[in-house]
Amino acid sequence: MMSSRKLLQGLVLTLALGLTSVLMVGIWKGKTMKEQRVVEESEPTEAEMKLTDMEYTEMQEGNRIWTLKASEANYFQDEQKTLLTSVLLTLFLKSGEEIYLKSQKGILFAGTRNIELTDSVEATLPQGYTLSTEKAFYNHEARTIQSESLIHLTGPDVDLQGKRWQFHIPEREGIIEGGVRATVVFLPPKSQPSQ
Amino acid sequence: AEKKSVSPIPGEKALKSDSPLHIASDRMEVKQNEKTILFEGHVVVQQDDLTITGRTLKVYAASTGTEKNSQSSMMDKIDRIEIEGDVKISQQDKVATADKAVYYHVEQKIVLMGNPVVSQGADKVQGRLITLYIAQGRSVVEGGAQTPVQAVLHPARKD
Repeated sequence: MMSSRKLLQGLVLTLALGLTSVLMVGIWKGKTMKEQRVVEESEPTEAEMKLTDMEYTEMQEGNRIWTLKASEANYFQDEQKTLLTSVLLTLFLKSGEEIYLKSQKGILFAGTRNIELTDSVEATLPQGYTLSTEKAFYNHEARTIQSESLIHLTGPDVDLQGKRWQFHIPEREGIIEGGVRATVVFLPPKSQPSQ
Repeated sequence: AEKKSVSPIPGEKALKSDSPLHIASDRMEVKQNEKTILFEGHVVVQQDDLTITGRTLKVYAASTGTEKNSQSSMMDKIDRIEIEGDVKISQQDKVATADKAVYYHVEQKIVLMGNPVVSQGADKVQGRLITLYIAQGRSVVEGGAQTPVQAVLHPARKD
């Protein structure tokens, strides 16, 4: 009786050991494959074209829509995109005003001509307002700029924070959402410019 | 319509001082072509000891014609500020409530409309329209057919 119980216990033990080793091998394989994939991704294929001090202007019906400058631009044919360094995007408004968007890094998507800006993005808006955030996206077709990361807007009379920002260029309308906190200073009526 | 002047009510020192206004809300929308700034959702405005709450707050900038792309900002040329939706203005022991309050920047006056009620401690006054003239620290309560001026005032007891 005793020996059959011992036999059973031995069997269970071997089974458990077998299962554990299969599991360990499985995890190890998964890890190494992932590392391999990460390595492949971080090493982009060589850029088809590399430009320094690049400048490109988008025109429509004879009007300048925007001008894109970058200290370095690497164009990747397969992915139809250009990786940019030290970016300055100037957007020309119908009113004659201009919006400047600066960032450390950017991507110009060839097909859509959308532009993604990342890494210390700073927007200089008309009437002396400056907005800073970590990431912003210019949608060429919709003519909007939007940011889904924390934004900080400062101006001659306002200091404001929020979680998301959108600016509709043709309509000159801006929306800030998510826990908006603003500090505003009004000019006393006497010193206001004549009405 | 009946008119009655009453002691200064919340906001008397309001918006007169140069202290900054702290505004909190869920959302803000700037429409440069319409010259408006809208703060929407759980709006709380604080300036010194004054607190204003409401559902929306809308700043209207005055248009001066030639400013198509002038560099002066909207806040330089405020015409009025409209606060709507369960408006409550409180300053120390003075409280005013109304459906809507409009602050006229140049005339330096605040108009409360839509069941305006103003109270200070146990004293209370209400009517159809309450106008506060900030510079003079004077308020005028106007009644109407449906909403006569009503005031409950407790004269100070002589000890």
